[in-house]
Amino acid sequence: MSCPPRAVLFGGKPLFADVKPTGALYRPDIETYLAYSHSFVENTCYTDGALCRLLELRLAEFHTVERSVSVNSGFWGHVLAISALALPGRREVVAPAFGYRRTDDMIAWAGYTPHFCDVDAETLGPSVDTIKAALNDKTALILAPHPMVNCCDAQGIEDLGRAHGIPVVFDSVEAAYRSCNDKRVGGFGDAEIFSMHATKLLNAFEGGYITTNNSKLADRLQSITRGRVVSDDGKALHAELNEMHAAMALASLDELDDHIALNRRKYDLYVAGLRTVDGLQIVPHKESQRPDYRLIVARIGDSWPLSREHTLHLLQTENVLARPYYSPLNHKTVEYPRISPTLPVTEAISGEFMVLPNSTHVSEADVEKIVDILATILRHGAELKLHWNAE
Amino acid sequence: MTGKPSLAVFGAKPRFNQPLPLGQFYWPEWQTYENAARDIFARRFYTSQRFAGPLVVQFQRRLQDFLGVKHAVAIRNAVTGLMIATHTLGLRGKVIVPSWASDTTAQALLWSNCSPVFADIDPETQQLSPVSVRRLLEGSGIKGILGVHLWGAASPVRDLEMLANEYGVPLYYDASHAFGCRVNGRSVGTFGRVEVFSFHPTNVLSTGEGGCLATNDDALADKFMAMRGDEVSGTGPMMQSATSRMSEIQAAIGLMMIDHFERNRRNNEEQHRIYERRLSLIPGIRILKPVGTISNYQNLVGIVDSSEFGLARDELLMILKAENVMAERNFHPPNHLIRPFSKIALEYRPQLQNTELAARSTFQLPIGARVTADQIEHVCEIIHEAHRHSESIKTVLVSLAETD
Repeated sequence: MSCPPRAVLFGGKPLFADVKPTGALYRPDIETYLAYSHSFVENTCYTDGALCRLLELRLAEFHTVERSVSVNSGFWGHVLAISALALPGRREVVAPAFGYRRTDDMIAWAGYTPHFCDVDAETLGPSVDTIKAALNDKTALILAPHPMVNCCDAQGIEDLGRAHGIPVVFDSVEAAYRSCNDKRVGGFGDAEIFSMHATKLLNAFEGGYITTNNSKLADRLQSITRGRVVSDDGKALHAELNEMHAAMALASLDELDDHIALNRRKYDLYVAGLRTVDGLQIVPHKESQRPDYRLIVARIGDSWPLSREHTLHLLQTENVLARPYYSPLNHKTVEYPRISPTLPVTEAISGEFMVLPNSTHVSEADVEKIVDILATILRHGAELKLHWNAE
Repeated sequence: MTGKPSLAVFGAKPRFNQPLPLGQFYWPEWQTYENAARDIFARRFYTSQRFAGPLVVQFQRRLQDFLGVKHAVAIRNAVTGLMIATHTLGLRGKVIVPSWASDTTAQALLWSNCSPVFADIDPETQQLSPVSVRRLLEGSGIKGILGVHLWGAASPVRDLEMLANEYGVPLYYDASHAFGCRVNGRSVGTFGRVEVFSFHPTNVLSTGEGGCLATNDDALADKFMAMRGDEVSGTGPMMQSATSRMSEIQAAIGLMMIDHFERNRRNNEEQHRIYERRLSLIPGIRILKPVGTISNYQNLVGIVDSSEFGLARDELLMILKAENVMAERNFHPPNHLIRPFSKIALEYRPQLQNTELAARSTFQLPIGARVTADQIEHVCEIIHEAHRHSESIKTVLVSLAETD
């Protein structure tokens, strides 16, 4: 029988000397990055140049969509897409509170008020029903995020938007590799937004892109995100991707299969390892939805001896940077106008999930050690509880 | 005058095979870039997550030393910096800004729930006119002043400061054109509540794309960092995020460029002097000289007096374009005449006469890394020829316009 977590109980050193983050931080081959860099340096064009155009073509192909528009981040991609698509004269954007913690900031920059909706207990994402409950004659747009694992009902939500004449934008930041109903993510709704922050599927240092099958919309977005006014509200915003970031994105895209194989092996180890750890359940990546196995989300069940916050504390003390899944909730952060009805499912389940590390800083042996820490916590649950109660 | 001038508008071969672009475009040596990239990959620290990365921190320190300012907060692009500054200063409503500036500057106000109130410029320097600013401040509801340092020179910082104090409104600057400029021994970057620099490749200091917010105010700096995406405690209610983290590769380039800043500034100055020397001989062409500022010389700005020169500004630009010189009329039309601002700016138009005159007569010529002294001599020669042959050029341009 192994010892209880030493760092906490015995004041020992953390199990890992280096931190183990949850974000992907994938490192493509430096030679590939330098080769792409060579081409933009030769062109003496450092921002929004030939590599951005190449990346846009490659991404459109990757998502099997008509067009992709590169932008400097997923965040500003959202702001600009909302701003370009929202119905004029209306004020509200419907989005779940249980999602990316900057969602209401993005909606605020675009000039709208978030109207928070609930999520589906099964998918952890918004559903046709939860969105429908938030729709009214002030709804300007639906912003539907895919959950960290698997898809929300993208087709259903697209159809709902069409039936009500309300534009739909998908926040697909965590879903870049996936398919829903055999159709690749990227082509649903009016537009989909992706991030290429180092922690995401494609590491571009920083960056993002928008996909759409609407060429006219893509032209408009291409202009607005390059600072050219074409929309009726007269707004435009420079949000070009620079060529270094495009070079990095291309290098990461070239090695996507390797990246996913790596994720897959570690995901399998987590699943196998935690099968015997009672009270913790890995949310399974559904094979049918073409997963990238990148994010490891664990559900903390009733039989788990500790709270999520205590569990995270123990893990973090060992340098395992596990974190709560979408916390705090959006409707509890920055103080500005928002419409926030009671959200029973969100309130009931939002404290139950945590994200475990699966970055390139985490080896297969590391996964086994992390599983071991969790197994140890379970075995010493009663002691640990006493420890906290004594404090 | 005898002989047909050897100008492309008369069918001669263009003077340059490749377009001669506007913009500075200084860039590090390949080997130093490669080394920096290898280091980043070895460290596997690509960009800030909760906190800024090691190169960003180092770059900020270098900027602070260079500018003599307490805080330089590096950001991914300058327009977000203007939005962060506007938001952080708590501005909502009318903000004075020169119409004679990039539309990006006025757009930043729109995104921040402010509406631009356009001030005029001084016709000599093209900088914001304190007289015009005072007139607008006397009106109602002005919440702030967003000054713009143009063309490698500085706004009348002292006068604007006095006005801001007198009327009790915050003053801050778009300093995109003015990195490394100094007024009375003080760096641009230390004036107003905050100054926003752009490190777009067209400016003297490049990070490929990027910028920074410079301030001596500790509380503001904390808010800037929180808004760009760092985890900062103690900023009061959580700040509205305006994601604008600078990546490690951007910071690496910035560090290399700051090492070579003085060399690049001197190159600009030498090029500027060639233009000044050659173009001062041509009647009807005036070169804007930075007055009262130690300049970075990053812009070469000329003004055409068509009655003396013989051709209008746009005619001169057509001739230069035909020779593959990418001379431009910037800010044309000026902000108060373009949408969406034209609708809100109608009442101010009579007071923007200097701006409208500048918009009709001003042009920029190439200066920086992608042009040589020799090429500049050729550009000046083209302008000289255009003046000498202005009469015959006019007839050609008319017939060209007709065949179009």
